[in-house]
Formats: sequence, structure tokens, C-alpha cells
Amino acid sequence: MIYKKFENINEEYYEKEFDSGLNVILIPRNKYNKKQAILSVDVGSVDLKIEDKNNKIHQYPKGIAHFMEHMLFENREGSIIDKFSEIGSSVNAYTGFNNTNYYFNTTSDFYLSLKYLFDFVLNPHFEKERINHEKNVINQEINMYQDSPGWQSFYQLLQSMFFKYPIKDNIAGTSKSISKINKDTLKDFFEKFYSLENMTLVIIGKISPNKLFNWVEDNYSRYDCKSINYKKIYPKEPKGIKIKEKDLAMSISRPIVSIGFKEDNPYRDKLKIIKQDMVTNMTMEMIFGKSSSNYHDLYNQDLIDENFSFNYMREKNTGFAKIYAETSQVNETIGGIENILNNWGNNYDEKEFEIIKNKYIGRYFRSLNSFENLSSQIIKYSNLNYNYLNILDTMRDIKFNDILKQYNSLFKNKNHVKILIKQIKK
Amino acid sequence: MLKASKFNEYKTENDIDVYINNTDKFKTNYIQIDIIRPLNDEKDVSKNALIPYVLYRGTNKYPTNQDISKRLDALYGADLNVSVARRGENQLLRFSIEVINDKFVNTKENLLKNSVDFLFEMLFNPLLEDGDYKKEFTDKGHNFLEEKILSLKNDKNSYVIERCYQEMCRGEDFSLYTLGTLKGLENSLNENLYQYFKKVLKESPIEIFVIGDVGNHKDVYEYVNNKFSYERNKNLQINNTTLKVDGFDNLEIEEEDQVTQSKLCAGIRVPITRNHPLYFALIVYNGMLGGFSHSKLFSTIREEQGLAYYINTRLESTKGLILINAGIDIKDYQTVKGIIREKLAEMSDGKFDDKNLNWSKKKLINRYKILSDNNHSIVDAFLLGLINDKKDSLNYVINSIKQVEKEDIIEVAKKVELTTHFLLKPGSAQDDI
Repeated sequence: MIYKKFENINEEYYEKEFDSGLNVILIPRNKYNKKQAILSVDVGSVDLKIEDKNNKIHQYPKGIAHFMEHMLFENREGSIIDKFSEIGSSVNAYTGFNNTNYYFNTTSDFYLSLKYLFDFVLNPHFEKERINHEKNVINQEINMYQDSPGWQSFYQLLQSMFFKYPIKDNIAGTSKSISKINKDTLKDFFEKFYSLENMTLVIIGKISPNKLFNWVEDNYSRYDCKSINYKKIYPKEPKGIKIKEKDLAMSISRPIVSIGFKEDNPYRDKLKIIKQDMVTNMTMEMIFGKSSSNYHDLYNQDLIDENFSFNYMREKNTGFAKIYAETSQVNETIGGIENILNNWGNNYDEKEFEIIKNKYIGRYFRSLNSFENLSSQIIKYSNLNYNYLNILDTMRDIKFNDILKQYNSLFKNKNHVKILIKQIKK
Repeated sequence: MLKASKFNEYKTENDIDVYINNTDKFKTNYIQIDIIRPLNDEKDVSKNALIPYVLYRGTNKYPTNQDISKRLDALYGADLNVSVARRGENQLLRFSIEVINDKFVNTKENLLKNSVDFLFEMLFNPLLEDGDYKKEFTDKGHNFLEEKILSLKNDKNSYVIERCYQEMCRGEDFSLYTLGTLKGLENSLNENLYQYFKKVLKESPIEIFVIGDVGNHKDVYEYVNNKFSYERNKNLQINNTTLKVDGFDNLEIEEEDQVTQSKLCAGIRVPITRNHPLYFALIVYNGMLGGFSHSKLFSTIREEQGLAYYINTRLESTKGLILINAGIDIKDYQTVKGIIREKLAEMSDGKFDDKNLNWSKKKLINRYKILSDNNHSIVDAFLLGLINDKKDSLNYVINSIKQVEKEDIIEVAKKVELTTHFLLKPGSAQDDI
């Protein structure tokens, strides 16, 4: 068992990997009423192809990881949700690009809830009628997102940046792709990915570490004979961007612009990935942050307003930066942003770097207040063998030179994607 | 247990309420100021909404937006928020700041006091020009608010909720949009906003909340009391909501927009608010009807019939309204409407099992306990209690929920009245209003 005390942020951390391959992380929060457990399965929407031990290729329909997430809530004895409700717990799940997460919140009956959580995630029940039922529900979910301008601008950006890597596709799939899902595809997918070895359990709340680890030892420590015996296969993503510009019309109050920059040579080294994530966000903060003179200039010219935002997403095999603005002067806004990005190398003020660092430190502490945020970050980083609670140390290692380097590699005179969501003409 | 929800209550010499919650649960200190106005006049509501969006653009000490951002950066990226909210027929002008606790960083500044100073600066030391706010700020605030009002239609779900409220409460103050209207904004153009806000600061109830590991709460109070010691003459109420109990019209409204999915919002009137003996039964009723995944509507419409991805209910406890909200296929509209009617009837006929009742109670109790783990939720819940004139402790709320029985639910169900259906359906986009 690993135990660490982080005096600087007033947190403790326990971690243990069991013989079954299940990894368990506990962050005690003894003053809180809420107890949260999240079981994260290392499979997400980008995992659509594997090669098994007999060199056989298995290809799955787009949206299957998300479909599985929905289907596991179906059970032989009836609704899973009801079992949790009976003891006052709330259960839910979400699917990301790289993992699928099942979680509950409770204030009492923690171990019974935990038992239920494992029970339903490990014991699927695929029945034809329920599969069809869930197709209807997911089609409504897909339709709901279709009508969201924010979601559309992000989705179109991914579609245009990537040639092949499945991050470009809707996590939920399409009506057509999910129509191909049946009992056999689900069974095959489940057998491959849903083994304890492929899971991390993260718990936050007032829980005794000894009791927790004993409980896991008694119940889920044994090897479950489903060891990972396949290789995930991802299509080779060409360099550059697929489509430079794209627009579509929606019923909105004013146009939305989003701009995307794709990493051409994403790192494989894990510590570098983590550092790059922070470095890129800080780079954008220095260029476009609210206290920068660039933001101020665009703002004073009415080219951007409070809705302006940017962020960097570093995933396992790829990374990209995106910029979002709502504006009625589309060309001027895009031109202004491009101009700033191309010329920042001659304009920066190195003194601002330390202030930006402090700002990120403040933001990090604020993020520790939320269980939801903490658990999702712990999972994201633990998949890269990194402890999220160590971030301040890694942050301290960042030098201004890292910022300049990333600016030159990702932003300066780089090809980028521009997505415009226009207003529907009447 | 639940100590974290305990506020130390103070009143400044000039009658501002100060609530301080000293807890080391959180790594930040959070300060929220609410100025409470009656929601009753289109022009005033628009002016009120404009104020926060003018004030955060600059002050005497920090004359530009950039100076403000730099000041916040220097406070370790303190998070400043201004917003406008509606609770019943009250409009809340909110200014808040969340800042890291000094103990985690090596700083000579007192971050909490500096944050209080910052909010004070924004409210009381604005940048003026010819006796009014700097024109550039007012103009920008104006454009920003106008866009905010128009952008309601970008989020179709928020749009149907607001439209449903407007239609079902037509002629009542509650139908005024939180952010005011374009017309109200237009009409206020030539008035002196600074003078108006001075009056607002004098006559309105003001609630200040501080939560975090703040040390001695008395010291914090003294600091706020000294800082905010201006001349006041409070003559307005904290709650201005009128409860309407009968005489409702039945409304069926359909609008078209270029959408894939239809959005339904069904409006229910509830003649029960905080002071009513059935108040806690109402909360449980809402949970049983559509508040949870085991509820009547969710289990039938989604789990049994697969007609929707989301279907839920929301309770507006100050005005006494429940909205049922779902994203559906247009072809299923009549079916869904039928199910809603059927489920409402089942509730008043007592056709619900004990499971639904007990589970809803358990989940609500959990929710109230968990609420005290989030600094913003603690303030939110406490403020709602203040507005509804019932400062119940969380323990009292939890005990009251435990005592709700089947008969209480039936009694609530007999009192509620479904009055409105609002549907946004696929078609051509509407003109901007």
C-alpha cells in the first residue's frame, strides 16, 4: 500500500493494487458528509478496434462504449437505479474519450453501495428488447446534443482537425452506428474490456483505509481470469488538419467562432504529457488571458466579450488547443486572434509568467473543493501513472522557456481549423 | 453533524445582514453579496440587471477591465463573479469572490480582507463621468446585457423553461425575465444609473455571506461593519412574492424553431410555499413525481417506454410552481402528455407505492446532508431560507422530511393544478423578439 501525506495542500492519499489488477485510490475527507466512489474502466469512445491473442481483429461500432454504459444499468432483477435509491444513494455514469466511469454518492450505507456498484458493472444482462429500448433513449440523447450550439462547435472542430483518430466522432455514436449494436457485439466488448485489471476505483470521503482495503481484499482481490490479452489499435493519424474551414447555420442569437490547433507530434512520455498540458494552458493564458493586453485590445474593439474562452485538451494519443468566441464581426475577430498568435513571440512580457503561475496555483486549490472535479482529475492522471496531488511540484518546474517552446511549436504560423456557426437566414 | 451549515448572524450598524460560517472544510474563502430588489417593473428590472455588468468594468482604483483582472491575478487568481438571479418575485443582484486561503500560500497580503475590499471598491468607488458611470462602461454593459437576453434562445431547454414561466404567470410579476427586457433596457437609456444604484444601496435588503476558515468571525464582522458603514435607510422587504391560488387559465402553446428535438415544458401551480404546513410534503411530492430516477415520470417515460433521454421536474418554492421538462420526439407529444396527466392523477388517487415515498425521502435527506459539503450550496440554501422567511437548520429540514406521510402527499397532489403546456417543435426559426 502506498501512503502519502501532502502537507502543502493538506491532503492524504492511499493507493493499492490488488492481485486481481484492480487499482484502488482513497483520498480521506473526514469532515465531509458525502462519500463518493467512482469505478473507472479503461475504455472510452476512441477504443473501437483491438487485436486479440489469436491475432484476430475485432472492430466495434462507434458509440459502443457509451452504449455499454447505458446497458449496464439493466439487470436481471430489475432496475439498478432502484437498488441504490432504496438506500438513498445516487448512482450515475459517464463516458469519455478514454474511459467509462460509474459512480455513486452517499452519506450512509457506503459498503452496500460499493457492493452494488461492482455488482452491476461486472454482471451485465444483454436482452434484445432492452437493447432496442436503449437505442431509442440514446437517439434522443444524440438529438439533444444536435441542438446545442456549444456542442456543435466543439464537435465540428474535432471533425475538421482529425482525419482518422476516433476522437473526431460523437461519443454516443450516430443513430446509424448504434443500430448495428447487438447482443453479440456487447458481449464481446464486455469480455475484452470489463476486467478488474482494467479498472481503477477512486474513493473520496470519510472512509477508513484499513477497512476499505480489507473489504476489497475480501471481495475483489482475486484474479478474474479475464486478463488483458489484446492490443488496442488506433488508426495512424496523419499530421496537419483535415479541413481548414467549415460553417453551419443554427438558430442562435449571434455567430460563434471556434479555432483549433492540433499537436503534430504528441509526446508519448507520460511526465511530458502532464507538463505539456499545464504549459499549453499557461501559454494561452499569457497570450489571451483576461489580464493580457491582447485580450484587452480585442475586448475594447468589441471583437470578443466575456464569453471568450480557450483551453487545451491533452488526451492519451493526441492533444489540441481550442479558442471560442461569440461575435457579430466574424472576420475581424478571427483576424485579430490570428494576428496576435503569429506575433506574440515578439510581444511577450516575461514578468507576467510568475503571476500566471500563482493564478494557476489558486485555481488548483479551488478545484480541490469539489469531489467531482478531484475524482475525474485523479483518474485522468492516474491513467498516466501520475498523482494529481503532486501538481504543484510539476507546476514549479515549468520555466518560461517551456512556454516559448510550446508557443513556437503549436501556435506560431500554424495551420488551424476555423469553425463558424452562423445564424439561420430568415 | 451538519455543523458546517451554521452561520454566525450579525447586523451592521446601518442594517446590512452579515452571515459568517467559520469552517476549515474548504481550501478557499468565499464571499457573496446579494442585493435584493422586488421584481415588479420592467424598466427597474432591466436597470437592476444592468448594474452588475457595468460595475465590473472598472473602478477608481482599477480603471480598466485589465486592471481589475490584474488585481484578481495578484490575489492568486481570485474568482470574481457577478450575476442576476430570480427567487420568486425578487431579483437578486449578486457579487461574489472566491479566494485561496492565505494558509496555503506564502503571502504577506490578507487575501480575505483584500477580497472584501475589492468587492467594496466595485460597489462603492465606481469610475464616474459627468455624475454618472463612465459612458463607455454603460454602453458596453448595455450591449452585453442585450446579447445575454437574446442568447436565451441558444439553449433551447432554458428557453422553454423561461417561456413556460412567462406564459403560465402572464400578468404576474414572476413573468418578468430575470435579466429584464430589451424594451425595459431601451427605456432606461437616458436615466442616471449611478444615482439609481445609490438609491438601491440605501433602501434594499443586503445580505453578505462569508464562508471558509476565516478565523475569529467577530473580527470578520467588525471589518465588514467598518468597511460598509455608509448611510442607509432600508425600506424594502426581503421577499415581495405574491402567491396566486386560483383562477388559472389552461394554456396550450406551441412554437417552432429549427431544432431536431422537441422540448416540452408543462407548468403546474402549487398553492404551497415555505410557511405552509405541507411545505416539506411538497418537496417530497416533487421528488416522487419527477425529481429522481425512480420517480413516476422518469421510470415510465424513460425507463419503461424509452420516449425521452431526460425528463425531470423542478420546484420553484418561493412562487409555488413545478415545471415538468423533457426532450422528446414530436410524434410522441400526445403520448407523453397523456402519461403526465395519468401520473398526476395517480398521485392524487394515492396510487403510488411506499417505495417511491421512502426512497424519495431518503434521497432528499442525503441531498441535504451533501449540500453542506459545498460552500456555494450552503450559501444558496441559507439565502433561500432567508427569502422565504424560514431560517430552518438543516437538521430541522431533515427531520421534517422524515415525518412526511402518504396522506400528506395525497393532500399536496390534490392541491396542485396542471395549467400549461409549452412545446418547442421542429419548424422554421422565429424572428428575434
